[in-house]
Amino acid sequence: MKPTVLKRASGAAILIIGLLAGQGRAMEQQGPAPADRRSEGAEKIGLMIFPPLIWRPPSVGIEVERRTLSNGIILYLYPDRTLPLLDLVGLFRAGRLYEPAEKAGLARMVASQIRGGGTTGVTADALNEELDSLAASLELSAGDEAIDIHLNLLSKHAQRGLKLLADVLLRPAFDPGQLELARGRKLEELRRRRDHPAQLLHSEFAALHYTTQHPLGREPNETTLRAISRDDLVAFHQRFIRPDNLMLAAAGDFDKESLVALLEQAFGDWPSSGKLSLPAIPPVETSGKPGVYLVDKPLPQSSIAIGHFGVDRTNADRHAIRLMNQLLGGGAIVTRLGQRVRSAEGLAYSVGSHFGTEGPVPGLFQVLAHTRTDATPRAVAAILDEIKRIRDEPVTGSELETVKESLANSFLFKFDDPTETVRRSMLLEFEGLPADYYHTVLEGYTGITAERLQETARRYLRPADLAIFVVGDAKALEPALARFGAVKNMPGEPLPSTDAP
Amino acid sequence: MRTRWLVTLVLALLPFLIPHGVEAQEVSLDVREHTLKNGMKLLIVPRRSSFTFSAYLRFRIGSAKEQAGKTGLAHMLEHMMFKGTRLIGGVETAAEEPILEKLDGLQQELSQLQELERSPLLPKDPGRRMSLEKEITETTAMLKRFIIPNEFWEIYRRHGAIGINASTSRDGTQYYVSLPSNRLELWAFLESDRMKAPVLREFYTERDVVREERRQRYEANPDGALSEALVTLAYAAHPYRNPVIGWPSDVDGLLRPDALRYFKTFYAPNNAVAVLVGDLDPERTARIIEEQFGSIPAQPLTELRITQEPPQRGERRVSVRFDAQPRTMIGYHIPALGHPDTYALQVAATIMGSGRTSRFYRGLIDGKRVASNIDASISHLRDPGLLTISATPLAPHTVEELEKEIYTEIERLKESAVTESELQRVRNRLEADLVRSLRSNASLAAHLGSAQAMAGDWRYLLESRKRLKAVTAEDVQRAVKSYLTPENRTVATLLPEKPR
Repeated sequence: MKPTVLKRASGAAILIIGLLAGQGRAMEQQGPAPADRRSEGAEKIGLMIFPPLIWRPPSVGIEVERRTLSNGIILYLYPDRTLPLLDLVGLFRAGRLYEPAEKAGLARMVASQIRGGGTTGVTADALNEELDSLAASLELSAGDEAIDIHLNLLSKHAQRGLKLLADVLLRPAFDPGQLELARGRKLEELRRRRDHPAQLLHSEFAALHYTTQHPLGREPNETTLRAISRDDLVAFHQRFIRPDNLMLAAAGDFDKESLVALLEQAFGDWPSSGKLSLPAIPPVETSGKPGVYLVDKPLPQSSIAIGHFGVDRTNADRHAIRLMNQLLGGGAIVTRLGQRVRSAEGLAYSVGSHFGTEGPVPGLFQVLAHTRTDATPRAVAAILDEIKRIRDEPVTGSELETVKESLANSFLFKFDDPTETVRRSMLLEFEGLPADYYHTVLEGYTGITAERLQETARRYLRPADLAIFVVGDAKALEPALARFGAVKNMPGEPLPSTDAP
Repeated sequence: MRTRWLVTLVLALLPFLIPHGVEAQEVSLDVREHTLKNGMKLLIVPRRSSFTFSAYLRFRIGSAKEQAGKTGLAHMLEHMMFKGTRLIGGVETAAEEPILEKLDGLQQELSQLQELERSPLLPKDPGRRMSLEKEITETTAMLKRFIIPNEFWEIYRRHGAIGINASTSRDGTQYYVSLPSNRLELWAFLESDRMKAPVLREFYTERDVVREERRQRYEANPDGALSEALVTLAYAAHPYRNPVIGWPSDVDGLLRPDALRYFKTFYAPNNAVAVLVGDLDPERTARIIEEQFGSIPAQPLTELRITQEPPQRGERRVSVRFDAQPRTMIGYHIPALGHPDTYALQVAATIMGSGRTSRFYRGLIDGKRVASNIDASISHLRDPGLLTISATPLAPHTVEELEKEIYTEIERLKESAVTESELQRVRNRLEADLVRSLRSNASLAAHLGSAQAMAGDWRYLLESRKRLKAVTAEDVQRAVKSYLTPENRTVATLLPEKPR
C-alpha cells in the first residue's frame, strides 16, 4: 500500500485533529434530516446507519507544504506516490484584466506563444517533438486574472520536463511565424463566434454588462488582434512572467527535497529585475442593464440568459449567496429551476444558475436555459417567477437541509484529487483568503437560516436590474418577447474597442 | 457468490525496445472479480487513496437494438431510470398505478391519431383529438399528488453524491455516481431498487426534455448536425445510422409501456456489469452487493440479429446548410472493435490527427496553413465503426481545398511507411494515457466497465494496449491502403445558410 492521499482517521490522524482544534475541525458526516414528505424507500434509507467518516481537509503546514524558492517563487508541495505521475500547476498574476483596450486578446496570445513560439535554443516544432516523445503535456492559458501553467508527465521524466518548462518560461523565442499562425487561428475563431448559440450568448451577455469600458467586456476583434505585435508579447512577458509573480503547486510521485532541488536547478538563476509592479485592476461600474435583448439566429431552440451583476470575493455574504444560488439553480436537477423548468414543465434539458462570487471584481448572476422557440416566453416567465418566489417566500426547511447536507457531505470530493487539493491551497494565497478557509467554510453554511437566505435573495437578486438576453429566431421571438419589455435587437458582433478610453 | 480470482497485475512494459522517452512502467491494478448467482458481473478495485468511491453500472444494451419507429427508446429509458420506483419518488403507488395506465392508454390513442393525421388524404377527427388532449391534461394533473419530484436525485445529493449521471451509446447504457465511502449501502439499495421496480413517472413530460436535449445537441449545434448527417449517410442499412437520441417524430411517440418492455427485456442482472473503485473493503462490498442485487432473477437473453452494413461501393456526400461557418467531416468504414486491423487504424488515426506532432497539424495547420483545426479518431463499437476526420478550414482557404489537402496527406501514408519515431510517440502516449486513466476512481471504473462489457473481460483494457504497441509501420500502411479509399468514404460538409 502506497501512502494515502488524505490522512485517515487512524490514531495518528485523530491526534492531529485534537492538537489543531482551533485550526482544523474534524468533520463528521451527518444523516439527512426528515423531509416534508417521503416515500417508503426514503423512510428505509432514513433508518440506515452510516458509520461516521471523520476527516478534515489537508492543511498547509501538515499534509501540504509551502516553501519559497531562492528567487521568490512560492511553491506548494503535496506528494502522493500512488501513480508514477507528476503534476505541476502554476499561476502568474497576469490575465485579461491587465490588457490594454486596443490590444484585446494580448494575454491569451502571450500564453499561447510562450508555449507555442519556441525558445531561444529550441524551435517550436522541436519542442513539440520532445514533449510528445515524453508523452508529456505542457499547456499555458490565460484567464481573467492569471496565466495558468499545467505540466503533466510521468515522474521519471521530471527533470527533463522541468527543464523544458523553465526554458519555455524564461527564454521564449516568440517566433514570428508561430505568432502569425496563432493570429490566423484566432481570427478564424472570431469568424466563427456566432456558430454556437451558447458561446455567442455568453460573450454577448458579458459584453452588455461590462461594456467596452472594462477589460471583461472587451472581446478581441479583428483590429485588436492585428494590432498585437511581437514587441507587445516581449513587453508583456517582461512585465508579468517573473519569479516573484509566480506560484507553483506540485502533486504526485516525488520526494520533496529532490523536487525542490530540481526546481532550484531549473529556475534558480532566474532573477527578478526591479520591483514587481502590476497595473491596477479597473473597477467595474455595476449598474444593471435591464431590458430585453435579442440576437437573431434562426434555430429551432432559443438560448436564454437572464441576470445582472454579482459580487466579488470580498463580499461578506458570499456563503449565503452561494447557498441561495445552489437552491435556485446552482445544483444538479434538484433545484427550484431544475424542478420547475425541466422536470415539471419539460421546457429545457439544460437550465441552471450561476452567481459570480469568486472574482477580484464583481462577477455576473445568470440563469441559463435552452428551450424551443415557441416555448421561449413561457420559459422566461417561469424563470422570472422563480427569481421572484425565492425573494418573496422563505424557502422550506427541507430544501435548505438538502442544500446544506449536499454541500457538507460532498465536501470531501474537493480533496479527492491530489492536484486539486494542492491547487486549492495555492489558490487561497493567490486570492488572499486565509489558509484555514476550508476548515471554516462549512460553518459558514450551517448557520444560515431560511430567514437569512430570504434576506440574501432580497438583497442580491434585483428584479429591476434583470437583463433578459435571448439568442434565437428573431422573426418569431421579437413579437413574443415584447410582453417582457421593448425588445432591443443586438448585432451579435464584437464591438470595436476603439471607443474605449 | 463465487470469487473467481484475485489478481494483482504488474505491467512491465518492454523497456528494451525504447530508444528514447518512456521506459519501463509499473502499474498495479488490483481487480477483484465476482459473478453473482444471477449472473451479474462485479468488479471491485480497493484503493484507499481517498474517503470516496465511484460506481459504474452498465447494461450491455444500447440504441442499436431498437425497433423501427422507436428510435431513442434506450436513451429515453436511461432518463426515466431517475424518475423513481415503487419505493422511491412516489407515495400510494398502488393507487397511482391504474391512473398511470390510464394515461398510457390515452397517449397511445393520441399517438395512433397522430399517425393517421400524417396523411393529407385520410379524414381527421379534430373533436376526438381535442377531447383526448383535455383528458391527458386532467389525468396528468391527477398524478401530481403521487409524485415526490426528483426524490431519487435528492437522496443522492443529500448523502453527498457527485457526478450523478448516465449515458447511452449504441452498444451500452451506463449509470455513474461517486459517493463518500461510508455510503456503499445507499448505492446498493438505490441501484438495485431501480433494477427491480422502476415506475417511470412523468414519462410524457420527460419526452419533451429529451426533445430539448436533441435540439440543444443536434439541431442548434452545427457540430452535432454535421456528425448526425455523416453517420446517417455512412450507414445505409445498419441501425448505427439512427441517432442514439432518436429521430424527433419517434421520440414524440414513445410510450411508457415501450420503455417498460425494453427494461424487462434487457435490464437483466446477467446483462449488467457493476464496477466499484475506491475506499472499499472488497469482501464486505461483495457481500452487500450480493444481498441487495442477488434477489433480482436472471432471465434468458435473446441475441437480436442486427442488420449488417453491406460494403460501400462508392463515395457518398452530403451537405448540411446551417447558420455557421463551413467545416467538414470524413468517415471511412472500418471493422468491428477487436479485428486486427482496428489496432493499425487507431495508430494511423493518432499519427494523422492527434497533437502538435501529428501529420495533419504539421502539414495542414502549421505547414500549409489551410486548416485551423483538424483531428482524427476511430469509433469503438461492437459492430463495424468509422474512422472519422473532422476539419475546419482557415480562411481564405475553402473547405474544398482543405478536403483535397487531407487526401494528399492520406496518400502520403500509402506511399511511404510512417517513421519509427512516429510509432514510438504513439506507444509512449498509450502508456502514459493508461497511467492517467487510473488517476480518478470514476475514470478507472469506466475504463474497466467498458472493457468488461465490450470484450467480456476487463483485461481487454491492457490487451488492447499490447496490441496497439505491436502495430508496425507496414501494418499502418496496409490498413490505410485498404480502408482509407475514396470508395469507402462518406463526406459531410457544413455550409452557411443562404441569406434569408
